[in-house]
Amino acid sequence: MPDTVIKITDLRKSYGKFEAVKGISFEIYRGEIFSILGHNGAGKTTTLEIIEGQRNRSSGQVEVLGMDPETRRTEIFRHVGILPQDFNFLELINCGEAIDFYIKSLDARDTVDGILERVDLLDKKDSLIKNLSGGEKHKLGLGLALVNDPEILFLDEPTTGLDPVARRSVWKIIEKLKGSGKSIVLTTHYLEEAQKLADRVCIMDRGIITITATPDEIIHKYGKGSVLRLSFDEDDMNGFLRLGLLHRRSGDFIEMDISSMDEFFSIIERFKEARISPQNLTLTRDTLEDIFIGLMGGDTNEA
Amino acid sequence: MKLRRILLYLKLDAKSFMRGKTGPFFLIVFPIILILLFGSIFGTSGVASKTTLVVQNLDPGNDTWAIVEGLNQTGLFSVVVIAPNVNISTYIAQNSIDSALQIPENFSANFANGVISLTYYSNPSNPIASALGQTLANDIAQSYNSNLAGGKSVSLVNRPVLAKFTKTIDYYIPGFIGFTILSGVFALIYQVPNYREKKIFRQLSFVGLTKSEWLAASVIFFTLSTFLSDLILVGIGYAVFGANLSLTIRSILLSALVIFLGMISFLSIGLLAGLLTKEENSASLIGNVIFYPMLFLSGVFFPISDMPAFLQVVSEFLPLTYFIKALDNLILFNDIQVVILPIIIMAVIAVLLFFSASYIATKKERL
Ligand SMILES: Nc1ncnc2c1ncn2[C@@H]1O[C@H](COP(=O)(O)OP(=O)(O)O)[C@@H](O)[C@H]1O
Ligand SMILES: [Mg+2]
Repeated sequence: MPDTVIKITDLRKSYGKFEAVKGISFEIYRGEIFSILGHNGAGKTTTLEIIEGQRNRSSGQVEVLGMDPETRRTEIFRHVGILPQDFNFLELINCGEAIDFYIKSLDARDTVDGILERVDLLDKKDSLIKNLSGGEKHKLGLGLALVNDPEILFLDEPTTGLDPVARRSVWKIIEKLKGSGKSIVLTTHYLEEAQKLADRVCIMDRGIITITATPDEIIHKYGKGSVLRLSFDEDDMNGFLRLGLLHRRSGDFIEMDISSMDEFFSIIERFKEARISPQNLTLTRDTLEDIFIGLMGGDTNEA
Repeated sequence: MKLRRILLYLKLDAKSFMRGKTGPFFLIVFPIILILLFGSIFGTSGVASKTTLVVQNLDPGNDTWAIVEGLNQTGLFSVVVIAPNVNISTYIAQNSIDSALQIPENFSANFANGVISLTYYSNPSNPIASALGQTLANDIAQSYNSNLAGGKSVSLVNRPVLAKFTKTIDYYIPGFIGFTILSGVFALIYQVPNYREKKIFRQLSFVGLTKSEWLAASVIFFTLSTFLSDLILVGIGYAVFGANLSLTIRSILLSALVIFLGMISFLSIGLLAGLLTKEENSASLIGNVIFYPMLFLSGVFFPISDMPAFLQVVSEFLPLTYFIKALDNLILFNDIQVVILPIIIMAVIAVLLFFSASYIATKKERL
């Protein structure tokens, strides 16, 4: 039985007449990275803020480390780290001072340099926050969230708005945190991010969670699998046809459905034995993106 | 409230304030500009000179000389007594005197019949002098009435209102101090919407910093920085304009208490005002709407007694009124007795405002 750190049951939240979260349930286990994947307006931030104790819920049960965040907010703050969407801090304070303030206020054991190193920001120690780039700011926010050595880390869209290089560098930091025993709840609307970082993903759409599973499970269950695409010159084509493998034609190309990497390698092996050499070989794998778009009916409302 | 957290945030806030462009300006440059400007307009450059009041007593007697002595004792005027045979109008014209008081021959006789008659000469082109006459006459009549009846000597009451009409820089200093306090409040009115919009309050709450701790840190910071401003202000008042305040250890300590209490009230109001909007632009509007009327209705630059009755009532409800009253009495007249009540009232207002502002701010931030 995995150790459950967060348990949500039939959570609902309405803003006036508008129901932003429409009865969702999930559990998050100790040490895993759990990603809530969804478009803007799906209800990710609302859900996160309710779990963190920042926002009151309309109905349903929420348990964080065995506590109800609505009544034991201060205590929960001591055990969790929060990187909010649109992180900001006093603009005219430098990174070192901000972290120092956190460490002293929280009576934490970490050192300023220790934290800066973990978020790859040592060279920005003396830079004022207003002079930081978007990526550096996110890293600082992440650093502050790490100061109290939290059991659970909430990262609300930690890479939104960052350029690809900055995004990768934030990913690297999160990957390093993997296996540290911390549970990480990560919201994102980048499928690549969820696929790369998360142990389990839930897909959230307009206040509803449609699927919760590992990225692989989702791809396996909802994806079409992988497609091997290649072509042969005339001689080799005859040799290929003699092998009697299941395939379809697509113009000048041959396409084969592949269900596993083993299958892929055994096909390549048989080509070798038959002394035929495929040309223009590509192996395309369904990504979460394909599934996501499929599930959302191609809806890409980027509000 | 946790003192350690307050002090930690105080350090952060002070750094951030001093690194800003407007912070140091309001803290140091602004008070200097203020006193130099007002000093040169209202103060006499170089040497402080009290308003010269020419007095001619045409009804010499114990009681009437007591009036003259009383005027002298206020320390507000340089009383120049001229002989009864001098033509007062000519004297005024020849010596460019703006204000003169004549005690007429039949003053005592009239008084016995319940009539007080005094003649006050003023230069009509000098509104200060004419207003002074009005107040002066009222004061004399009042004190004469109450004191003579008891068989005591005549004395004038020290009235700050009266003091406003003398021309020395001293009498503007309590108002300037009020001004320096308000500049701290303006800083807060900008800061609060900014912190709310950027969700910095929320970020601070992650380390457990509460609204009351945040407000307490702001109070400490602005109290200290206002002391600094006011030191500069009083220093320039002395050095450049020859101000002559009645500063003692006791009046300085009590003034510090008054500034501290005032700071609590005004910053609480600043926090509440800042909560009205999330945009910095509307913040300045709100600041102006709240603070300029307060400034003018609190007797900083115009005497309350000259205002229409309903405005006088309004001014009774403004914390700045008590603040200025208390400072007037402390640093102009070293009158400790009179300030006890305003200080108690201010302390009560301060405590009420502090906790209600923190409470409302906490409520408002809760999502
Ligand atoms: N404070 C609020 N008041 C009213 N509606 C809100 C509020 N916050 C969010 N919403 C609405 O709730 C929905 C979900 O928002 P949010 O949780 O921020 O989504 P996400 O983080 O997935 O982008 C959106 O339609 C948004 O407009
Ligand atoms: Mg969001």
